[in-house]
Amino acid sequence: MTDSDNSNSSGKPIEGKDFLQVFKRGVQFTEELLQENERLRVRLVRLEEENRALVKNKVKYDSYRELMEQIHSLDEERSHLLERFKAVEVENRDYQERYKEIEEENNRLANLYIASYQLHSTLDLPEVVRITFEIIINLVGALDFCLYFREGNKLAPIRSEGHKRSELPEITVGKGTAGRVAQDKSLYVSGDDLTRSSVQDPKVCIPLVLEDNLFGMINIFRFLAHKPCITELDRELFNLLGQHAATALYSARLRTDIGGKTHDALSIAHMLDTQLPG
Amino acid sequence: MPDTIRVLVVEDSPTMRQLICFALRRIKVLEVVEADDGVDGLKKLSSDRFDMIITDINMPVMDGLKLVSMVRNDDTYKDVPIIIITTEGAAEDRQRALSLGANAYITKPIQAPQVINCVKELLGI
Repeated sequence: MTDSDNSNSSGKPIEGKDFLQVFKRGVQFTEELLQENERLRVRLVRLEEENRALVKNKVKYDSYRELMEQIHSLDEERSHLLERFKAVEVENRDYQERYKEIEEENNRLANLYIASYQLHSTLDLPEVVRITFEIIINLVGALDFCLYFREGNKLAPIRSEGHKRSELPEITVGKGTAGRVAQDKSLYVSGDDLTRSSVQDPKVCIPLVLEDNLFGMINIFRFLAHKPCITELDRELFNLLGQHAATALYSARLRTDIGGKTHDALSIAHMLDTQLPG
Repeated sequence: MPDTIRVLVVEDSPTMRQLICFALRRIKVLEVVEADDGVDGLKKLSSDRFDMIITDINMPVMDGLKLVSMVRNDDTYKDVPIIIITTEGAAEDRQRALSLGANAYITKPIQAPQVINCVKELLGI
């Protein structure tokens, strides 16, 4: 050990007591540093925990915000879908209405086509009369009715359903409901009770007109009990009969008259009586 | 569901037969055969197999109710669906037809959709 090792900064020699003090101060300083270090370590741990908690909260908040945005977006989509659904419902109702209209129209056209087809399918007079009656019974739903042919100023009963032909009087053109219809040559439909039968007061008078000439008439006196009213289709069938049955009957009657032998209404009625059942 | 369902239409009026067949054409799987009256109907039933019968009541030679009664006594056809289409609208007429074995009773004048719906319901199509 040299002399310089045993002296302090001012050059005085270091004594053992001073060294111990310095050492003690060093220990104390080290202990203080350790305590501070421990304090700082604890603080660091706390700060790290706080930081983790803050990060977690931030994540929660972000998720919450995302969820709210999703909900908002789904709400908008739902509103849009509801609007679309309502529009489709309206469209569907329109289509259903339209389908119903088309079905009714189809049914109407089928009835008219079939009636017309059948009427013009033959020139045999008994057959044409039978078909005319079939149309009135099956397609219109009439129970009592009569077909008349014109003979001068009268209309003679040719064939009837529900009444004996002999019980039905001739119609004079211009007299009574049927006579006035014969004069006007336009369809007559009564608004009365359909199930009540009256020969003097027919429910429907269908003039059979060809080129503005009255050829005959169909009078309906009563309808089937379960028929509630006269429909638009019935009126169309009446108009069809007024034209197409007129043509078919006239043509068939002409064919019957071929060969020079003309038949008056009575002889035609007798012919039908022998050739048609009932 | 079978490829083809055979239906026998027994009706003496050609106009009505045409109208019924027109309605049935809307059901694609149906094959329709026509008969003029009850006797013609029975003849066709004995020579061929049918899955449904549609018949009028008032027909010459053999009426529809007699036809229904005979069909129901035949083991081959005791369960086949039968529809009556008729002008007879009274409740007792309907009751009588149903008690003899008819499955449905439609009064004339008919609407095509009414016949179609009835056929579809009875055939389960």
